[in-house]
Amino acid sequence: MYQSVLGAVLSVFLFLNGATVWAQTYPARPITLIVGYGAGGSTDLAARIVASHMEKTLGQPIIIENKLGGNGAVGTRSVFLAKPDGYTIGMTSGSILTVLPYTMDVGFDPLKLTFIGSTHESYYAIWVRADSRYKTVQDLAAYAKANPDKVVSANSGGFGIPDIAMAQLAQANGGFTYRTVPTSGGAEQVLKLLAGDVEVQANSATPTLSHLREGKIRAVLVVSTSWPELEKLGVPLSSKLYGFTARNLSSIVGPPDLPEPIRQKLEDALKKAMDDPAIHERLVNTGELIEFKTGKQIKDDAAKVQADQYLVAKQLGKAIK
Amino acid sequence: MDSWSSLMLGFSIALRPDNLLFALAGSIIGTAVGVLPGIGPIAAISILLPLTFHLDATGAIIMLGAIYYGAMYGGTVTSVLMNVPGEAASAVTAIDGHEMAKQGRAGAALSIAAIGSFIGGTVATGFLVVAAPPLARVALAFGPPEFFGLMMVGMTLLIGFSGGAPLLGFISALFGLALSIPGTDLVEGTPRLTFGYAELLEGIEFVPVIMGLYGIGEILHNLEAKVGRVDLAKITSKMLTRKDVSASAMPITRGTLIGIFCGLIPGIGTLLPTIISYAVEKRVSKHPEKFGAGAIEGVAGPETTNNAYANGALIPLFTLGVPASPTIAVLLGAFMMNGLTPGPFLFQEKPEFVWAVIASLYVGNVLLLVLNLPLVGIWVHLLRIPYSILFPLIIAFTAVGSYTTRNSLFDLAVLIVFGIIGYVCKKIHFPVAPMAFTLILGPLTEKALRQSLSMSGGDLSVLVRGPISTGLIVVAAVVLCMPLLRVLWRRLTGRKAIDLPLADN
Repeated sequence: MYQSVLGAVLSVFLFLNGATVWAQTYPARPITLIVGYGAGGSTDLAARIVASHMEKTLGQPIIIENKLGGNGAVGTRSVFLAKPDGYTIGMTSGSILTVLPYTMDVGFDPLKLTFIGSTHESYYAIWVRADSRYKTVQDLAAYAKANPDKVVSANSGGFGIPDIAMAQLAQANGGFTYRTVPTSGGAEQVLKLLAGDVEVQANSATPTLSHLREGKIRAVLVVSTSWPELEKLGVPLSSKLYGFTARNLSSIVGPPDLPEPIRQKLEDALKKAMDDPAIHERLVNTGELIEFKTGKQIKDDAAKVQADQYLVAKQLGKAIK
Repeated sequence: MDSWSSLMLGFSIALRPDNLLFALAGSIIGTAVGVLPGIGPIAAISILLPLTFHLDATGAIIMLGAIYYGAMYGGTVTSVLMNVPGEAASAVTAIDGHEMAKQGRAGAALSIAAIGSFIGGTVATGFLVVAAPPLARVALAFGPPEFFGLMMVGMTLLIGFSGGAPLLGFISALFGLALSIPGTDLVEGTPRLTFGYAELLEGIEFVPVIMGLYGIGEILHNLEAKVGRVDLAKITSKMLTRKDVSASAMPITRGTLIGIFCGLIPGIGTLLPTIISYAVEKRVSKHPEKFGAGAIEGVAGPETTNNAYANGALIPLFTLGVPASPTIAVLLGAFMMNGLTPGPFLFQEKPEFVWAVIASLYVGNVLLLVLNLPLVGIWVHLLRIPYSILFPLIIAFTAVGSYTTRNSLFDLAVLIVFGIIGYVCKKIHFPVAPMAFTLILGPLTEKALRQSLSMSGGDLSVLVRGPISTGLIVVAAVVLCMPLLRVLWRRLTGRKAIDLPLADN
């Protein structure tokens, strides 16, 4: 009895002082960073790289926990449901923020998460095999328009950013139709392209770069906001040619209502990590578009990209809401 | 530089004391994670990734690579001793390996596994050296229709795993296929039979299923019946007899070839190659009835295959930059973080790195053999631990293993449910292996079929589009109809079928 009264008094005291007390002592124990994707993937790598530096700044270890399922939905949902005390945070990637909320019932609104900051977004381009009959994106669009459902594309499984990119390209060219071969990811996608089982696909940097340098595949259109290596080769930007982009944003998030001082502390640690030249180089090596953004910037970005991609999915009949 | 002198350069780097130390550390860690069920190589490599920031890239990759194939050795130990396969690669081994242990021959099973693994791994690495670029084309020749044909062969072979009752094997396989339906629809990206459980969006996890069906089922059955207790008097440190070695020679040879071939096809996984090896051994054997009752060929073949596969699967990584398995995908991540982009370009860009890693595969395989043969004597003594201590330990390990695969409590429930199913199946002599294996093969088959049909726009003839796919479908049909054909043959030739018509596979 005595103890529970004391406990109640203490917790009221803590509640009143809430944020300031936490922020001063935070972090007092190890932090768990939940990654909703498999170990070794680009999101996981970025998380491990920045965490290795953030834990030095914060003075507590950061434990990476890979919680897989539902294209990132399971892991992100467990961040959403965690206590907002700064000891459970997560790393999310594009589709859970901007596609899944309206294509399936994920059970929460990702935009209500607390955004701590962002590490990168993915480069994306439309690829064909080097010996393809499509020399330019216009060739591809003209053929696809004249031959409905003849062009065979590949996605990375489910309905994600590569699908959004192809759909936007089709819409920008009078709504041509094509077939999609589902795969389990970028690496398998590019293999189908090399084998000639599919003709075209939207894909990111990691799986494609080595084949590009080998001269086995070509890009016909950059669909991320930029991609310097391809732009140097004269590959046009979709934003200039058609006025659309297909962005895949990755960010570090916390549960809703994470106290601002804690959020700020984490954002500062993330920024410090990304300013470190060694960390920056490692991130660049993962083949992503590395750019630090504050929590506010990335939240605004995510909201905007979600609204854009929602329209695309809705027109395709993929949106359930 | 030709391959030979490049390899010599590689050895000169791989045999440097620091790199040798990395290979040794990796081998030990890999064996350890293989022995502890559930803590697979993926988890171990990921946890160690940040550590590699502080190491030289070559040393780091050598260590991570050693963990990868070391785990293939280690996984055998629990399969043989406790019937708890920690991962798909050693699930097939458990069938005969554990029977051998019950007969007091755990030492022989583990020794032949270590030797077979060494041979398989070493020969596969040899292929990587001499024939990687031409072999890489196999990966491209195996499009979705060919993959589908191969899966059909695998599925039909599975029915022979049922210990003399093909019909029950067939039912078990169908049940496993049904279990593989919940998940996310591959084409639509929508949930399928998940009943609102987000945990089911990626299907039922294999590790808790197999640990439940095999490990927990076995324990419950032993507790009740007090049977199957290893005969302590018979446990000897005595390793292999001359008879064992001669019986294993051909399984090891065939296992090596099967493993290398399967390694060339990205996405096939570690299970199918071992299934093929086991089924082939059973079929060519003069005494197929011994399979499932402690046949050493049933351990030698699959164990060789999984290590040959593990090394062979590096060929697509080095030549095409395509990870052939999830563990290799993590390795690929490690490459990237160290500024190395796997793929054909890497051979030109950083030959000293590539060849050092390849040379270290040889070094690692030797280290593992030297490390594991003496350990066999220690492992078999684990069987002397009283059941009152051993059983709770196994249950604890399987629970931890099930949980840590995805860090999900849901998977603990899966473990318990399948533990009970495994127990009931054991009581009524219903084969569980086909069920567990179709759970893995089902989604792969579905994917290959739906990819093929997306490519062709729904035209089924794509499944026989070329000699490879057609040939595989024909093989599958022959395997499926074999028992029936034999019965017909006997009737036609007027000989009475002595055995039950369906009992022959």
